[in-house]
Amino acid sequence: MSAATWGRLLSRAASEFELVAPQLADPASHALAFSAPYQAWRGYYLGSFAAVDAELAQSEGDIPAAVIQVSVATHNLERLVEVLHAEVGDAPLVVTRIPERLGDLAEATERLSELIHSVSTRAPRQAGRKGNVRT
Amino acid sequence: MSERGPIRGIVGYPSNWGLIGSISRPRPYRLTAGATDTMRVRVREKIDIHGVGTDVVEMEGVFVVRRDHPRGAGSAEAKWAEATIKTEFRALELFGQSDVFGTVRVRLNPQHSSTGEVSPAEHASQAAACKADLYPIVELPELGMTISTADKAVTLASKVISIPPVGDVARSESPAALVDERGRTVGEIVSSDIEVGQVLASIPLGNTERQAS
Repeated sequence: MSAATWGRLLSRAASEFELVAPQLADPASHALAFSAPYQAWRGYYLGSFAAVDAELAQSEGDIPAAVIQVSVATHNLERLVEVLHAEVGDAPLVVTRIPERLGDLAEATERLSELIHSVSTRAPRQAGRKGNVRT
Repeated sequence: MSERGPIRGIVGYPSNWGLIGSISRPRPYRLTAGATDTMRVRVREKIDIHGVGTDVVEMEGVFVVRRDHPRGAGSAEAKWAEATIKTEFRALELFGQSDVFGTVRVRLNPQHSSTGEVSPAEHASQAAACKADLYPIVELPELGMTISTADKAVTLASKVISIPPVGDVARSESPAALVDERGRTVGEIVSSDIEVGQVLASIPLGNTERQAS
């Protein structure tokens, strides 16, 4: 599969991730019930991202490093969301005993947003941090 | 904020984000033969010691883990996301500096076996479930303390697409009480977040079963 084909495949996931990312990363959302962001994330993770991941798992050819990075980062973010949900349930994230994980959540979401757009054919909605991703 | 500057986030090894270019990484979504791996690791632990304080401690070091050959369900051939791999942690050596506790060192408790397992993925996911039950000993020499989680493991879990799990971030879900050498509860590990880096050495297991004659 060519880099362009991977890019097109990731574009659909990128457009859906754009809707989920602010709910995870925005500190203002951390004062609201976590139930809606959690459900949105799980819908993305087991939906459009899982479709990309299934293609990756079946691929016999070389996979671009940045595409693998998207997958690793997404599964890492899933684990972070999982432990936060296990701790706070549907309560706001600000009640966590481990606020440093909220910093991780914001940073990982922002970086994943930049990364996924760097390999998709879809232009990012807003500019991200410069110089993070070398592909 | 620490006097040594802000604690860095635990969001994945820098190569995950293209920050240090590519490092050697096993092909994703493929099983690999068993081996004993030595891997670089960065750890952030939130530690509370009663009467002393709480701190978020950043540590770096290595761990050594033996992972068996993958096994399929029953007689089925082992396949990615369906296989099970048993693991045993042979060593862990971490070092960090805390503004509250001074030097912090962590190693494995030799009185317990620290084991883990890579098991089949959640339905609809391609990521294998990776879990480890670790029994750490925490040394705080400036406080004259050597403490452990006694019979309770710190359980770490993650979702991985390669074995060994380069780039993986494993996280704990529950705190673990810390007890001193007389069995008194003196604090707790509130959380553990672990970023797995590159493989420093990998020694193959070779055959692990008796060959038919």
